[in-house]
Amino acid sequence: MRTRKVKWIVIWAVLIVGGAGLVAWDLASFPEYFYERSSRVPFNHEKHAEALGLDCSKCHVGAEAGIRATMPSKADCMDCHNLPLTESEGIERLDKALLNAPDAPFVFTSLLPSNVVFPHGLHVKSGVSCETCHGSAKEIDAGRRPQVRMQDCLACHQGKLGFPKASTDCARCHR
Amino acid sequence: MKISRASFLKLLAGAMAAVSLFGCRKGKPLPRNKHAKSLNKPDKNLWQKEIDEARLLKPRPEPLAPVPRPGAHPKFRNGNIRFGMAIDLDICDGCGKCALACMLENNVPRVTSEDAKKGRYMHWLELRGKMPVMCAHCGNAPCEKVCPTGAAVASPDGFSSMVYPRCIGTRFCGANCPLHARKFNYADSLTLGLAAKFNPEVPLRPQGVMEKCSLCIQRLQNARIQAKTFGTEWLGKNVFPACAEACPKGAILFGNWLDPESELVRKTQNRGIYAPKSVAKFLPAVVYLRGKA
Repeated sequence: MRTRKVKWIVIWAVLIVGGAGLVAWDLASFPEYFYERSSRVPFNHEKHAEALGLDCSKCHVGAEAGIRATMPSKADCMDCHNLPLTESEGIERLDKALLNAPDAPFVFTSLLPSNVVFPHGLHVKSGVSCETCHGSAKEIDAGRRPQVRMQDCLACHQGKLGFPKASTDCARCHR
Repeated sequence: MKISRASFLKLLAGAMAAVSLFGCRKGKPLPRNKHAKSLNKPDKNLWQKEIDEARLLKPRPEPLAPVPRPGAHPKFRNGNIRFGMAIDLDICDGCGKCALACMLENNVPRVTSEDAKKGRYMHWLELRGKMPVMCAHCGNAPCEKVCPTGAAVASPDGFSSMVYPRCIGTRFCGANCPLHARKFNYADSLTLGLAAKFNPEVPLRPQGVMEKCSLCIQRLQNARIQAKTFGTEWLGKNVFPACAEACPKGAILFGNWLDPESELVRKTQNRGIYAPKSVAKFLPAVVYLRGKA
């Protein structure tokens, strides 16, 4: 009877200590859990794109005709937001966040390796929508980032995904 | 404390489950978006200094041999583009502006002092004597034949391209290039502070990777993408590599050898076409002009 009790104490101790250790380890490895939860209000893609009907390229200039899609600066936001857009009063928290936002645009770190060029405009022209790689506005808000491997590029370029065939020459995309 | 076999196995299974759960944590965190910070600009004079240093090492120009006018690439007979270059040695006075422009355009790293003593400069376009020498983009390229991974590969646009992530650094291509136009990244130049990203369009090459003149492939790609996006036909017009743009005398002609209206073809009419003797039989696309034909 006594050994049985000791056994359970050992199991619970291992579970609790181990669990706490894992959480501590995780927080130490990914410290952004602590400090990246700032007062900044994340941009709501769903509201702007789907509810207001804005095109991606309205803010991400170049997404439909350029090589790279760019990030907007605060001035781009203010083009609309300095106008009285609706009758209703603004939400204080959002107004404050916009007021305190830095002027400079984001330096966007692409997941695409720097030795590959992905011409956004050319893909939009051949009928590939933004959603094909980036997902819906809802998914983007949830933090989805397109993670495309070369075999995904090639599958489409070889005509396996329903789009017309495209070049598979190395030097077209690699530089 | 005595543990029965059954409970020992249970504990072991629990421990294994805990370990495998630990492995399920999220992987590498995604890069965060940051607001721009101004960076210290690298000093271009350091690169100029290295070019001046390197030209002392090679005081003799490459011996030349006459070659026929470059035509279609032997692997892509039906192509309508063969990019190439012609350097007019009657005009060129060896000022070296092309070499600096090349290094800044392609983020070419400097080398450590030990490598410099061994002559392992990374200059894609180097000055031998007063003659600018770079990869000749041979049609029948000896470097492409010995690459075990296909990193050195011919492009249907008629030049010899390089896929850096494929390169495993055997240096066979460098050994097989009679012109010694291929450069190997012996040092980790970014960590040593010898490389700088002057041009965001061009990636920095990691240590252990071979590199060489790419005919400014980023400019060719961007021009093609732009033409295709706006639906215009593009045969390699109106795009120039950095060296041709930098030449104050217009001695470097760039264009499509297969487009009879290109500046390159028109200006090389009735001129003597030469190539470095070492690569003359490999159908080079980069040639030298001297005198009249």
